Amino acid sequence: MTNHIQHLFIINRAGSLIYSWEARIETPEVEKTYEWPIDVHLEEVDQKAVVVFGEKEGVKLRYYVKSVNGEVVTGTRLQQGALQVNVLEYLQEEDNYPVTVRFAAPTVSTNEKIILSSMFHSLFTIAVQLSPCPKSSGVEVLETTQFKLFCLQSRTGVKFVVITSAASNIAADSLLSKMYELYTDFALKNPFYSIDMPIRAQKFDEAIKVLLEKAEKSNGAVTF
Amino acid sequence: MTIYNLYIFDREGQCLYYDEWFRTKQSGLAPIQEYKLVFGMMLSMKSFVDRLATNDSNQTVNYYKTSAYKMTFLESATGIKIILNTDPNATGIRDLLHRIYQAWAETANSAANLEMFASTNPPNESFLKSRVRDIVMKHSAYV
Repeated sequence: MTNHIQHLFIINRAGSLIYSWEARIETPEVEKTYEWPIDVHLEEVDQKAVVVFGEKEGVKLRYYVKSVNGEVVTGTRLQQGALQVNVLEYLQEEDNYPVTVRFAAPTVSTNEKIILSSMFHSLFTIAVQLSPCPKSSGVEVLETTQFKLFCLQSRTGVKFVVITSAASNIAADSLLSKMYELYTDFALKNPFYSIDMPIRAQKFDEAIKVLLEKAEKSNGAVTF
Repeated sequence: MTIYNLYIFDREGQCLYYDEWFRTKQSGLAPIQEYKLVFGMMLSMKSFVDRLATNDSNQTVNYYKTSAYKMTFLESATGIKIILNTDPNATGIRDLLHRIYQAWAETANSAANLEMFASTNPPNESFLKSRVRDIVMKHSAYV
């Protein structure tokens, strides 16, 4: 059985991320040896060398350059002896060919999760303002061709967000309220937890893990 | 079930058409500001979902839902964006949007109208209006 729950976020009332969980998915990687000139078009996107045009033979759009000739690329920087060179410039030089490039599928880094959380926080607020009828909440469900996002905002303004695959029919309502319950039990009642700060508690991690397994098995119907 | 309002934008974000039916709350902004906000939110939402989904590059936002309304998106290959607000339980909205797009395309692409859309004024053309209203009011979600 494939797992449908992909991400889980808890966003505090100011819009910053205080907890996140991600399903372990192995990211596909492709290694290819190129002759001059390279036939995929790369550009720097979010400090990575990303394929923007010319996908073929397993190298897809949005894949990023992970290593060149076995040397790991950090951001767009590639270590060459004592020097650090820009990987995009390196791949423009004919002298460096043939070159073996390893591409990896895109992932959501911790930094990006923080950005996404504050983005969602503002989208949520705008959705309230744009409502054509009174007393609207913010975004509760967002559906795209690839995933479904469910959000529960507590009375105190904390948002619980669950992202499932588009194919899933998990009813996230009870899952979200159960998450809220775990948050109050394991974060708020923890004497060492200060409010609005990231949640670092082993008990909470474990409880979330158990909850997600249960939800996955029962299609989201979590009984109290 | 209810249909609240409709926005049509061109690819630069200019609001080309706006209409409303049972809208009971205004946003408190000038219409132009509101159009900008709707368009801006749609763009942010697109960038949000693009960053979040890692498996494939082709992805479109279908809709979002709050406790009181549902906003459904449709973007054509030419960059025309149609946004419709309805009751959260309304069904068959995607199909309705396709029909509105068709009416739009037929009206906008007739030679007599080409010039009209080049101007900066939003074309609240009565012909288009009557066609769109006709389509929307015949829909089952319109009560």
